[in-house]
Amino acid sequence: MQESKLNQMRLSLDDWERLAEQSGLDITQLEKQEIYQAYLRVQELLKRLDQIVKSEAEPAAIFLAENFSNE
Amino acid sequence: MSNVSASEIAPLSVFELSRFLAAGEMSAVEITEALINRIEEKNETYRAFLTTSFELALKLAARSDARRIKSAPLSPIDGIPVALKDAYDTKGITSTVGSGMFRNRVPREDSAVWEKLNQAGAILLGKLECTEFCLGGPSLDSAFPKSLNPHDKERYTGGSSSGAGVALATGMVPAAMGSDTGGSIRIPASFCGVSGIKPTYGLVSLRGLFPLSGSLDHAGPMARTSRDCALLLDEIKGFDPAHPTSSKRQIAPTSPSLSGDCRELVIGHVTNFTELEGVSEESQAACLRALEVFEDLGAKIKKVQLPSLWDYTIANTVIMTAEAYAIHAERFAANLNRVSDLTRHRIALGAFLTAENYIKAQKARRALSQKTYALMRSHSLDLLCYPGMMGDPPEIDKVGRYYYLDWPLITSPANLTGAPAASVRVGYSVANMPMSIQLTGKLFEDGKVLSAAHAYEMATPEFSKIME
Repeated sequence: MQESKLNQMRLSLDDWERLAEQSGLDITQLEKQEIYQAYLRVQELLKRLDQIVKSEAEPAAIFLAENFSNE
Repeated sequence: MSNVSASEIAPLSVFELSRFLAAGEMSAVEITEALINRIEEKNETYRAFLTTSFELALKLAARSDARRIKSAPLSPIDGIPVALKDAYDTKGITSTVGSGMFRNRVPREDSAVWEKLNQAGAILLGKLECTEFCLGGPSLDSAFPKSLNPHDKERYTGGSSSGAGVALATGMVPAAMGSDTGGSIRIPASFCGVSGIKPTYGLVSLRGLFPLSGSLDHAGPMARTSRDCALLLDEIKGFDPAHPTSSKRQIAPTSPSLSGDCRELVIGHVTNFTELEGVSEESQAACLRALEVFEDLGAKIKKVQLPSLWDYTIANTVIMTAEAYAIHAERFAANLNRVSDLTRHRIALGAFLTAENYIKAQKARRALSQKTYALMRSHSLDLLCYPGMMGDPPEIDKVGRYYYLDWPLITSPANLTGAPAASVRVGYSVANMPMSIQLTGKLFEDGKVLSAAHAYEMATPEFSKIME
């Protein structure tokens, strides 16, 4: 299966820093670097899951109407 | 004042204490007073309790004694002192979730767990230290003094139910409640040398347990034996219509079925977890020795392989981090400097995970669960067994903020699959630190997990001790 564009997309440090600004989190430059490295590691590890689930697999959260009553 | 000394009471299990209570050889007030003395003696050194509730405890103990005289105990744990991780809400008693931001947080309602323990006649000695917002640790700049591992104060206690592990290991309390999102019951149980079970997801209500990650959080008991964990689990399990994750499917009481008999059991030894790079030779050898004990007890052992531990770890990490950020985002934007360095790093990572990341992890959760249970069915397995930890508890200042991105979390498969999982102590390493195995079962087969853990503990009583 061709890897989706989304899977290939990783934020550059500049883009990531802009996102950090938008989040409103008051983190130092040093902290940003460490969190960014962790972010890259997570993205790398997440690629493993492409072999387990396809993007078109059933929804992650399944809403079953029968679980709700009208009462 | 009590006629029974603290040092006589401290090593006793819930099971033993309940027998003494039933025989009229001890009173709940005597036990409570002795443990209060023990806490006053030990807590300054080991810092397991954040808040004590001695006045309430003595009142509850007196009521328990009166009940026994007038009628009958409410349950097998009527009159037994317990303590709760400080993430459980207790009406009128400070519940900090380990955070300075919640230093003055006093809940108006009890958590479902304390509600049930209270109804069973248990006695609350206080609230136990936990790592901030249950995120795991160790935090070196935490708002509260951190618990110290009685086996070696320089080494990590394991988190996030760190106070529970330490209070049990030092004989301050015979039973406690922890919670587990990525291993937070089993890690401190293992590093402190006690027992703990993360029950089947939904078996114990999460109402009033401050969430870290609602779809992975589990409430569960910790004690010095698996039989004691069973006694507690029997009182706290049950459908709770007031919490959406509570399961309607229930199980029979687990404690009456603990027989010590393993002759019908088929245990899958997960070799790719045991032989994984990073698992110490000692941990591997301890796991193999434990399997030999099970074989001697009559169990049949089969070698099996599960998907890579990294697959479980990354799915668990992404779900936990994203959900934790969603819970804390607003609070953090305004107060990020009021939390510990570790919390700031771990929570902030969640701000950068995408919806696609989270959805992928949730889909993988289902796929990995299907693979795990399919393997158990196809090999007719009752239980899975693998090392409890990768090795000895690390030195406190050597644990990285994102250590779970460097080494896989050997506790994560059971959180992801919702399976019942017990940490069972299996001896001591060369460094004299406790070692453990994990036993995990099929959903709602918590009794089978506890029964096997109990059988193992009965066969190896030399591993049971408290630290002075």
